[in-house]
Amino acid sequence: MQLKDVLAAKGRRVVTVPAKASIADAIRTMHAEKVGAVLVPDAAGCPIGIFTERDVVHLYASGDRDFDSLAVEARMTCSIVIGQLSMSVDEALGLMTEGRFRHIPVVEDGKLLGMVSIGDLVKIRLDETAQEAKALRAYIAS
Amino acid sequence: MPQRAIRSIIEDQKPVTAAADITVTAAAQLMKLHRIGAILVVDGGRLAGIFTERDALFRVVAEGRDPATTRVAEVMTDNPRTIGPDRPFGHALHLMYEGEFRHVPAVENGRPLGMVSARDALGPDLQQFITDLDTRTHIGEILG
Repeated sequence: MQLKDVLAAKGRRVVTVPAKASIADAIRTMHAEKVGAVLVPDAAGCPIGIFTERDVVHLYASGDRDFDSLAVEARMTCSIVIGQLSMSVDEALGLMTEGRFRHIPVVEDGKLLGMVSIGDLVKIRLDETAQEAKALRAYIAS
Repeated sequence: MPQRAIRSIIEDQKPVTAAADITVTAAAQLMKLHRIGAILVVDGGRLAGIFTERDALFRVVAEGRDPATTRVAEVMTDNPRTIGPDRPFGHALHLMYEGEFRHVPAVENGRPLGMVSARDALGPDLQQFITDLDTRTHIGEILG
C-alpha cells in the first residue's frame, strides 16, 4: 500500500492559507474546513510550512493573544517531511513515529498533490486488517 | 487485532489531569509540557471530560473565546467514550475508528487511569498488525 492509494481513497483536497494570513484567519479556516492542519504554500504552490492544532495549543500556552495581527508564517512549522506517491504506508508511519508528527504533504515535481495524516494511515491499517480477516473467514468457510 | 490489554499500554503513564476550572492557557501549558494532545479533566477525582487539541482549535479562538479567561470546563469534550483497563487495545482502536477521534480515556470505577491515543497504534501494535497480516497469509498458504 502506497501513499497514492491512500490519496485515491481519501481524495486530494488540501487546505492551504497564505503565509501572511493572520493566526486568527488560519484558525477560522481550519474550523470552517474541519481540518487539524493547513499548509502554507509559496508562490509556486510548493509547501513551505505547516500550521497545526498543536501549534495552536503552543500559542495558547505561550500567552500570545495577538491572534489578529500575528502572521501564520511567524508560528508555522517550517521543517516538514515530504512524501511521494510511491512512498509506502509503513515508511510514512515509521517517519511519523520517529519524528512525532502527524501530517505528511505529498509533493511531486514541486506540485502539492495531497496530504496524509496519522488518522488516515491508522484507518487504512484497520481497514486492511478487517478485510484480511473477512477474506480469511470466507476462505476457510468455502 | 491487537489483543493486549489497555492496562499494559497505560502502565508507564502518569495520567495528566486538570481540574475543570483551570483556564485554557493553563491546560495548553500542561499539554505542551507533557507533549500530549489531550488531558483528562477531573472533578472530585472522577473523569468529567477531556480537553484535546481539537477542542483548543475549534472551540476557543474559532468561537471568539479568549484562552486566558476561558475555563476548560466550558470547551472540553463532555462524556467522552471511555474504556476499561482490561479491554483489548483493539477495542479502543475501533472506538477511535468509528468515532473519528484520537483519544480514549482509560477509566476504572469512574476514575481516570490514563489515556490511549491513536499514536499508541504505531508502536509494538503496528508490528502486531503486520505480523497478523503475515500470519494470515501463512495460514492461507498452509490451508491452500
